[in-house]
Amino acid sequence: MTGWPAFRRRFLRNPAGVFGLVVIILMILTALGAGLLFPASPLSITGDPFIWPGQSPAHPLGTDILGRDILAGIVHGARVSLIVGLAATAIAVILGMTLGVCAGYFGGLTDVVIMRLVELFQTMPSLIFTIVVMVSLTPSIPAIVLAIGMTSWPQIARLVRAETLRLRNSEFLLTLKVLGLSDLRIIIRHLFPNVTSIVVVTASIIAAQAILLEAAISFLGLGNPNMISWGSMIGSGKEALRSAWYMAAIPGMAIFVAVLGLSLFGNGLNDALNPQGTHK
Amino acid sequence: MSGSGGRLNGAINTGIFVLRRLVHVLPTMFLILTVNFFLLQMAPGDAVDVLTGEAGGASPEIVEMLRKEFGLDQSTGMQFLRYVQNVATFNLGYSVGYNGHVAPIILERIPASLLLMFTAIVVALIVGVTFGVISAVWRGRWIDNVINVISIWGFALPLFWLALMLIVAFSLTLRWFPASGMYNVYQGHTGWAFVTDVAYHMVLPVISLSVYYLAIFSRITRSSMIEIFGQDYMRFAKAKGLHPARITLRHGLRNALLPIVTITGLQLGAMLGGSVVIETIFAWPGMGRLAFDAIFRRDLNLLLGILFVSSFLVIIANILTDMIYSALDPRITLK
Repeated sequence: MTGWPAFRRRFLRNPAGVFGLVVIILMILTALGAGLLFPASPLSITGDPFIWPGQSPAHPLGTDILGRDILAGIVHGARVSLIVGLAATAIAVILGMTLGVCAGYFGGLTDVVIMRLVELFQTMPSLIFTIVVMVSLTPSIPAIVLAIGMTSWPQIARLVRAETLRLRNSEFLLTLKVLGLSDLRIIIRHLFPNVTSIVVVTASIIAAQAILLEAAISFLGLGNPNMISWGSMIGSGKEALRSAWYMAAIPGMAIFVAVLGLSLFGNGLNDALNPQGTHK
Repeated sequence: MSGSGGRLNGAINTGIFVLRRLVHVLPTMFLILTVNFFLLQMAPGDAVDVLTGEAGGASPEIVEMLRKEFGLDQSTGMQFLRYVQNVATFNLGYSVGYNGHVAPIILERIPASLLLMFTAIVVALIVGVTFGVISAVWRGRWIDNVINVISIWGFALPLFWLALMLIVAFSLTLRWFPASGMYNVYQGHTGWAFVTDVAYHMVLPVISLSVYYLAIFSRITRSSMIEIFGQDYMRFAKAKGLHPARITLRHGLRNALLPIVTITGLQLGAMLGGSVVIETIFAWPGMGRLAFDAIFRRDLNLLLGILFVSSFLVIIANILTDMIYSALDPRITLK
């Protein structure tokens, strides 16, 4: 059984993977609808401070130290997490696929140089590197996306390189060469499609890691101060941990569900793509 | 050959291996320095403006000293050479925020961080490997499902959030464990009392830091144990009539440990990053906490020093990993 219908059937049979997909769809809808649901800025004060969840119908999840609505913060915070997760993953995928295919296909010096770069970014602890980037540039969403993307691409590059090495001496590729296709055409038309499936699985894991990394950076107070994010909400909730722990607890659960959804989705994809692996 | 001669040979081989690996990582270290220098150049203003201005101003003498140290009157290329030369002699520059040289400030903080990370890795290994073995042996039973859920959850929990929730539960509510510091400053414990005091302070940070790795270790142990159960030598051990527990531990686990050693080495960088948030939350006096203070003071030079030193620690850890790997699997020799 191959092809899209078979893949879809296998994926839908896995409840955990479907749960992951539902979480991702809900998150996208929340991020898109944030402006409609809560038109006011989530940083504006809309009520008394320290309202516990369930205490006031106007603030279902309560308010924070300053009286900002927590539900509005969660809904708007989904935007930051989603943007950072998607954009950082996009950078990692583009860089990782291009460099990984080049390293595997051309070999030689190209391979040596690219693998040195892979080693470099796998040696530097990604959170510390991201912190340094945020301190030397001005804290902003593009800076955080760039920093996370730069530390994540080696995971993809290594996989793609290994897969390309496997394909390089296959008859399929040798035929294309004999036919006189240019390197660029072989890479784009024939190699990229063949490595896509392994990249997709890793990409969902990278998106999950990116959301966690962004949360940690914002928690440390290095995010964009004009945008609310789940990490920064936990950071400000930390100040009231003794009297109002819900302020830190709620955004943390949002991060947990988002990351859980992405990793279950990734596992589901992996199982559906490699059906023999699941019945071992 | 006599036993001592073999041991001597082994020691020489190991020495050559370590030397060769250190030479091999020199280009990587050089690249890290290049990245550091590049980041320093990217920051607005010249390096001295960044280092002094954002740290809240500095005396004219220090500004003068820094300008000389960075050779700002010279070309970018010369500045870079100077930077590399400084680092090669363990001069990581001057921290305005701490009013001292960066290298000793960082070195002083390393033991506390290593203590925390090492304990967390050991805890994660013991618990994670146990979970993984149980999961593999009783595959498909309820206990396997419970452990799978724990490991998937552990993977998705933001560890700084877990740390805060542990503080709420075990420190603020139940008052079982302290929420900050490494030891009780007022009581001035010595000897064993000091050791137990530190251990007591370590409970919550170690749990927070180890959960993620516990999840990884348990997952990897499970899958590699399941793979090993299908191998011929396991069937052979069974056919020999060996006790099932002995087969699982002696023949199964020993081989399953190999991928775990590799992953531990690969994950050390992530753990150094994790320790920044955990040390910050628990006011643990290590390198991570230092990094947070450096963020707060916008002390870029100190942060660059921390990035460099932590990368170096990752490299050392990877060399150690390879040595442990070859000790576990005699077929692999150090090259």
